[in-house]
Amino acid sequence: MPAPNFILTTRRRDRILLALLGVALCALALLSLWLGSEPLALSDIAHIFFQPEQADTVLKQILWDFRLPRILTAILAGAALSSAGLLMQTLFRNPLADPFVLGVNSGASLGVALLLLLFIPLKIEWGAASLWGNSSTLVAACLGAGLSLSLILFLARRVDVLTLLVLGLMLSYAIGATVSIVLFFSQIEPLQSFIAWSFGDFSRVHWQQLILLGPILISGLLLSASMVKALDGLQQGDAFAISLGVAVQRTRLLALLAASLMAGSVTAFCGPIGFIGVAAPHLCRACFRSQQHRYLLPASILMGSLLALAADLVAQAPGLDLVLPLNALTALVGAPIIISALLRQNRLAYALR
Amino acid sequence: MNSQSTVLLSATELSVGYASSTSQALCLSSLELKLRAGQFVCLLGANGSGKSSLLRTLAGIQKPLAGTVKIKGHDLKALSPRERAHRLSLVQTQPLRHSALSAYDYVALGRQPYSNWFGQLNPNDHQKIQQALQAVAASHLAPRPVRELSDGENQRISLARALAQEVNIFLMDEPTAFLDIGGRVELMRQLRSITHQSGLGTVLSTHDLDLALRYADQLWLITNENNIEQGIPEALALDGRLAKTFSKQQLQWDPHSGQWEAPQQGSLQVSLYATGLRKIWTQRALERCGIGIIAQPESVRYHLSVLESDNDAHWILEDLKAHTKVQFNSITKCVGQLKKLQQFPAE
Repeated sequence: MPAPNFILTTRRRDRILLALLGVALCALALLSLWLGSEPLALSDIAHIFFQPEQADTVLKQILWDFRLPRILTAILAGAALSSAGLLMQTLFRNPLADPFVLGVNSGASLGVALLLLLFIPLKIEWGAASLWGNSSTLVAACLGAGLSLSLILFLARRVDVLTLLVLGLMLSYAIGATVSIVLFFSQIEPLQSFIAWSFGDFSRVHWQQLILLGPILISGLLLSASMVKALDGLQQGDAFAISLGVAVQRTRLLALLAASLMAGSVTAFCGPIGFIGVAAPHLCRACFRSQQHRYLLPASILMGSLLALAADLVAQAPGLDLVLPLNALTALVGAPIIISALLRQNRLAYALR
Repeated sequence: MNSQSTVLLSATELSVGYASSTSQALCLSSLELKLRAGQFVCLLGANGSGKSSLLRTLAGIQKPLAGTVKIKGHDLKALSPRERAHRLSLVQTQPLRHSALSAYDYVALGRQPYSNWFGQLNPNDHQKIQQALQAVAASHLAPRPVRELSDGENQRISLARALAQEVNIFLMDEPTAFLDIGGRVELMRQLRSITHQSGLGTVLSTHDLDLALRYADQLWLITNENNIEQGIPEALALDGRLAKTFSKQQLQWDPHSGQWEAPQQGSLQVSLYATGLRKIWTQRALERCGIGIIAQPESVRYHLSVLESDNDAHWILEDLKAHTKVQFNSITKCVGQLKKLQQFPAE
């Protein structure tokens, strides 16, 4: 017996929507490649791609070594943050959950704060000396994120999800407080570096970082994709999921691992980037009729990439001679759009139930 | 009935409760239970007696403190989550979450134990889903988001999900809660007929003693001694085990009427002469007001009789001591007068 008509119609509609999102993402990526911080002539871009030997070497470098890695990073980071947010919202059955709710973000900032404000001024160094694009910030952020991640995974076996959510919140507060104390005792210069890091920036990631970040994020995304079915069950409650044959404990640990890995690495490489992880999954729940994760996950991935890329494009401020703080833009530009979309769909009240 | 049919679910030496590292809270101990194919069992017990805990333990969601649960001879512990989901389904009473899901997609979740990692449904799955919806007369609800369904429709959709899962054993935790009386009767009838027709084993916990007595093939009655008494409803009613479990200080369970009764407190007593429907409802009114009904008319002061004509009736209250007679043309007025007499007894 085939599926009933209304199901077929819904699925077809959602597949078309997915395809449209994909097309929009490609278009935005091309636009971003063209505009960047200073628009290139279209003929130059064509030259670089199709007759590279005749192209201007400076333009070639701008396109290959600056714009392309930045665009790829934005796409990957947006996808990772958004799907991590989806995992967290489903796992905690809480629409306010985001990828950083368990303190991975704060862990990374503590690592960076300690590095910038204590170790560098005290001339304790590992890795290269310069600040951006080097490995020391990265290592510090990774260590911080990894530490809070292992703490959460350790706790996750012992308590239920709601307790875990509160514990994560407490952990975030505690680490945040430590960061504040470290900031309080620091000099002006490292303080400025820290604030610059906390603005978030996709352009910090060049090819040599992308070879590391890319595989991590892609494996996180694949791990999320392997859980789509179990997440549908978990959404309805633990006992319900068990009744459907979901290995709840294992799925929960894997989801936490995947989400924290993705959110932690993005924070480590690009700085803290808020908003996308909360907003993109919500937007998808509002726009897509099929509420199964096998639709919501790819939708969130595309939507997250789209939002991240759009925010990055605005941050580069094409034509103006400045770069705006990415972290502020994601929320400032995105929030009104999301709010109006959700209110118009009248889904916010339902989502918060 | 079905005493020869296969045992689907059995528990031996089962103790149910909660254990933490420091303490243990025992709900039920040393249970010996058997659920057979085609058996519709109602699980009865007071609040907090461990009905839900027992169902969760039988479903493998909660670990037993001691003892074993077996599904058709297989130890529950040895089965993988997926294998369990092929055999047994627990339906809990809770508002359906994730509100935007359509009822069809919700029922489709029941096919998860059979689908691939991606959750793709094949034509057979769609057939099972649509049959399940038909079985609970909910096909018309399929396109609606579950958040828009009423409590009764919610329960039917939850039941359809469990049906689509094609299990032998249904465990249902208070499915009749939140339903009006019509909805409760309908759900019990549906469940019982599905159980009998498909040879399932169903255990349903409920507070609704009256419905359980009417529909259950077997009662599992949680006693005040953390044990479970088993038997057909009538047997438990006749040998006083029901009355013993359910009677509280202020409330008696009367096996004659199958109903709850508060002990008589009022001093006012009447003898009643009436027939048919009006007798039943007049009796109920007197019981509700705490007015005693005495069989021997000569031993009481007040005598109440209902005179019926074609489509009319009169309630006549006779005071044998004061030799007065008052006639009322409705039961409302009659009860009003009796209440007054109860409060301010005549000299």
